[in-house]
Amino acid sequence: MRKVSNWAYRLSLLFALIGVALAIALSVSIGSVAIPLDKVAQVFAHAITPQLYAAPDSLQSQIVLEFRLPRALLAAVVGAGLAVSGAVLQSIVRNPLADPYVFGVSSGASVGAVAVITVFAITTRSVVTLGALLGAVSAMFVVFLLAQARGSTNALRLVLAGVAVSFTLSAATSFMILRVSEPGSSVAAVLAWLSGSLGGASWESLGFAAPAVIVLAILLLFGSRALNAFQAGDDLASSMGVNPSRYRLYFFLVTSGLVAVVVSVSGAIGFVGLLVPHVVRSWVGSDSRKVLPFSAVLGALLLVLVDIVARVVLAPTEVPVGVITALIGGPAFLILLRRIGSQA
Amino acid sequence: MRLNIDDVSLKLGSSQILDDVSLCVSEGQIFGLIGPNGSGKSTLLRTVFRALPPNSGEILLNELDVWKTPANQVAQHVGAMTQDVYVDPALRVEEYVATGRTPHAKYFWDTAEDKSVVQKSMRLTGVEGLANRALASLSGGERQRVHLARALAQQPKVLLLDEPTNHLDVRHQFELLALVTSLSVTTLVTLHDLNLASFFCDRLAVIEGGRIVAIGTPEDVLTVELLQSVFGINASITKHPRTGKPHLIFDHQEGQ
Repeated sequence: MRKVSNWAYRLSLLFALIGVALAIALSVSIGSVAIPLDKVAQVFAHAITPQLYAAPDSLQSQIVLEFRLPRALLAAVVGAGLAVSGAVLQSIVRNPLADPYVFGVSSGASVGAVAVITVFAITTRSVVTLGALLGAVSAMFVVFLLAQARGSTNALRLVLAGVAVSFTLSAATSFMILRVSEPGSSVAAVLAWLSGSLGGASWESLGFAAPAVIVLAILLLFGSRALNAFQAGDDLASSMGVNPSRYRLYFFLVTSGLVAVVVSVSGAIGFVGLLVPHVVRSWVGSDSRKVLPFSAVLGALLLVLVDIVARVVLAPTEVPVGVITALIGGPAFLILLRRIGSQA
Repeated sequence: MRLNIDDVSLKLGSSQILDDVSLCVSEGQIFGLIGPNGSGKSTLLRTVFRALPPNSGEILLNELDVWKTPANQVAQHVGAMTQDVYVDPALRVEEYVATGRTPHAKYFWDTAEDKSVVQKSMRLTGVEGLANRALASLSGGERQRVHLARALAQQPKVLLLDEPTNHLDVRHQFELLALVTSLSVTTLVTLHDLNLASFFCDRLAVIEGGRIVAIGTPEDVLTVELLQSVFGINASITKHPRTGKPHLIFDHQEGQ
């Protein structure tokens, strides 16, 4: 694994941040109605300091501020959240194939959302989000209780409990979809949700997701020294003053909360949380203090770009982002595996 | 720093792993723990570096009670090297050694002191040339020295070493233990090789079935009777030609 000096790390982090800003601007500009970047800039300038800049075209202004900007920002927040939780989970379960959904949180969210859509016949986005959040949090507690034994949790029990709960809940989701007698709008809503979509982005969902993701990601970042100690195994972590089961519980709760928030606003978008941390580690090494911030920024960049593709590729039909991430992620992951394999 | 283990007992399920174990390692001493497989040697070390709480008894570092002091504070005094360490194979040597700074860390990033301690630990163990290598690419001997470097990065006043010479060839076994001796840090070490234990340790304790059955200098402990009763092996005991310490020659005859 190559070593990147500190200045190279900072510089690449800075470039990636600039990349996110550019990608957001691009995402706002591209769409069924193309809005040139200078008009986008004018809308932003007017919105921030109305007295200095002339009012832009009101339709363009509405498209930018009410639809595309919250969506691009939500893509960034979701991408960052998924990548950070993936990085943390891969460290605590010591399995490079762990992804944010390994603890069954997304299946819980699916059951919650699908129950709201099919059983209660509500497709209002905010209610679906609430259902997903409740489902995710309940699944998280079930997994945690199952993984408990004699007051401690170990990595293997967590993963096994997560897998068991995931399968059960996925079956419940399928059952609920099948029992809908008249396939129609609700099934389409369910399918869009299940494959991961940013179609429901709004300032409300962003206002809920952004602060939650930022706070939870910072809580994870505070634990990054402990995460590093984890890499030496449970025994040595203890010898360095890091109580493995207590820290594992902390990371489990915080990442599950983070994933629950993200899944509740966007559905289960795959591969971002699996792929991004691997790319980041191959560049900055294994120090979590570098891996977590860089993963957040790269995850944000990736999802903003993928969302542009998702809107453009079959326009005017919108492809769920999850479909595109899986399409890119699968082959990308294979390439990465080959590279890692040839290094060892 | 002095390490005192007082009447430590530990039960896992229904089996008594440690039974009233007491020993004292004084400042700067190299104290060897010997005994057959499964006798409780490693478990005893784990109770000292806080991986496994004993059911009863006390472990003291000078006056500091290991199990009544915050883990972080204990880890500022005690460094450990364990067997079968699971380590992310992609981890670089320097990153791994730097995790040893965990209990001392005050800030998010490493201080100049953290960095210099990490460099010093790598220099002392002769692994500074490997700093950028992945752990997976190291030989057995290099890996053991890297594990020791990580423990030293904790700036321990007490070192706990569990079979540090495992997987090493004879030259590396001597080099590693000579290095440990040269640190003059209070050390509790488990060893399978009784001649190495005799050569390097100031005192030895023999542990069998979780109980200490003999304790003292290598000359006191390594007797024909003890080797027969604890290890089930016949040995003649000679003296090392230079140091005068006991040197064992083992024998095994069919049908014994």
